[in-house]
Amino acid sequence: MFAPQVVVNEVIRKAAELDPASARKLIEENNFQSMILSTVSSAYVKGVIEHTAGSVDWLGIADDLKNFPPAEGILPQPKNVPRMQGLVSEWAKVDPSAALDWYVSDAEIELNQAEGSAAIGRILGGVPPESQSRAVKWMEQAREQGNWNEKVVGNYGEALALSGTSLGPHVERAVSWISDEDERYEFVARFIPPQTRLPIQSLDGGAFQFDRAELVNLVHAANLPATKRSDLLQRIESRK
Amino acid sequence: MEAKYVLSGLALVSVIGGAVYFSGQADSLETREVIAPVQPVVVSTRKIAAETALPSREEIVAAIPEQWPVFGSYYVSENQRNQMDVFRQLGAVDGEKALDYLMERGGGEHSQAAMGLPHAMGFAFSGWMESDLEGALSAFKGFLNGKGGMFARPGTYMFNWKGKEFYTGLF
Repeated sequence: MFAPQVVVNEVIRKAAELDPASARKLIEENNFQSMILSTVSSAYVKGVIEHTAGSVDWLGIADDLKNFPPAEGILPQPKNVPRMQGLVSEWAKVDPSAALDWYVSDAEIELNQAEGSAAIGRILGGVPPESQSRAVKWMEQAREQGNWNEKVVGNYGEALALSGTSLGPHVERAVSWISDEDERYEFVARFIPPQTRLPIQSLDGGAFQFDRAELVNLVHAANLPATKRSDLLQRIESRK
Repeated sequence: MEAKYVLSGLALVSVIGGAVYFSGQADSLETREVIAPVQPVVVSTRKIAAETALPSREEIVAAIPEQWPVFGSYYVSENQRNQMDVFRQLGAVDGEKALDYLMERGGGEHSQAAMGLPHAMGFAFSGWMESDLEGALSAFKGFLNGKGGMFARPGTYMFNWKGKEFYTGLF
């Protein structure tokens, strides 16, 4: 039943774009209890970003979200993860380090836990190409500080394969942090899906295409045994 | 390299987007273009569309497709948003009357457009809000039956416009 959610999201997004206070009132009065609260929050965040036209008060928006009525719905709301994820995803597109530092601290995310690593990995992978090197730099610093799970890199790869348009040295660096050989293979294989009759599309309509040379570099950076390396290189070769 | 793939991606979008949202409707789309050629209202981005002068009501109505888009997810991509912009435009120029018009044109269980009616009305609300935020939000109260019904039982109506309940679809 997506229609109600689509309608509510659009109305909240537009209300927030025109007058954030009206959007907040709408949410508070209705407490769309059968909705997925995280997407309502994301719609509000997107609207406020358009409203502020460049000078976004990220922490102010975070406060707004915290003041929304608690979800009465069916879906679980562990800590602040779903509610804040839309905000942090947008913030990370502009300033990955500030967004993720705040998120990890505010939501008390444990990177060594599956839930935390998945949330952070998804955000990192959604950072646009021009900020990807900074996203990976943040991951590198978190890794050096301990409290770390390699699953973050795998989750990052999953998200990047869905939304990314380019790879590069920073992604090659990230794959080398995965100690398990099979997981390194899976990380790279995600970027080279098997050929299908129809072009595979991302949610936003873009075709999944990565540069052949970048893919080859990633395969070599994964430091895989010859058979696995050969398999991936053949996959790349077979793609037109 | 990136620009190349962005461009090729956009080319694919226009073809595949048409196949998805107007599948089986190619003939009717072509017919509409022959009968009523209008200036295109779908532009490269919604932001640009919102900032440019609106077409006349007649032009907007003529640009409404025979079959209205239906989304299989609560996520609306920029491409889908551009497809829905014609409904936002209608709401911006016609306010409440836009929703009346859409109900009349898209309502009814036998209508081809019925599946996309709530989505169209949601974007018409969005346009109406641009000219009368308070009025549109006031009208929005009660539009959703049961606060949305994300997990509504099959067969229940999810929306209500001026006392007329509608939409029991899966999407």
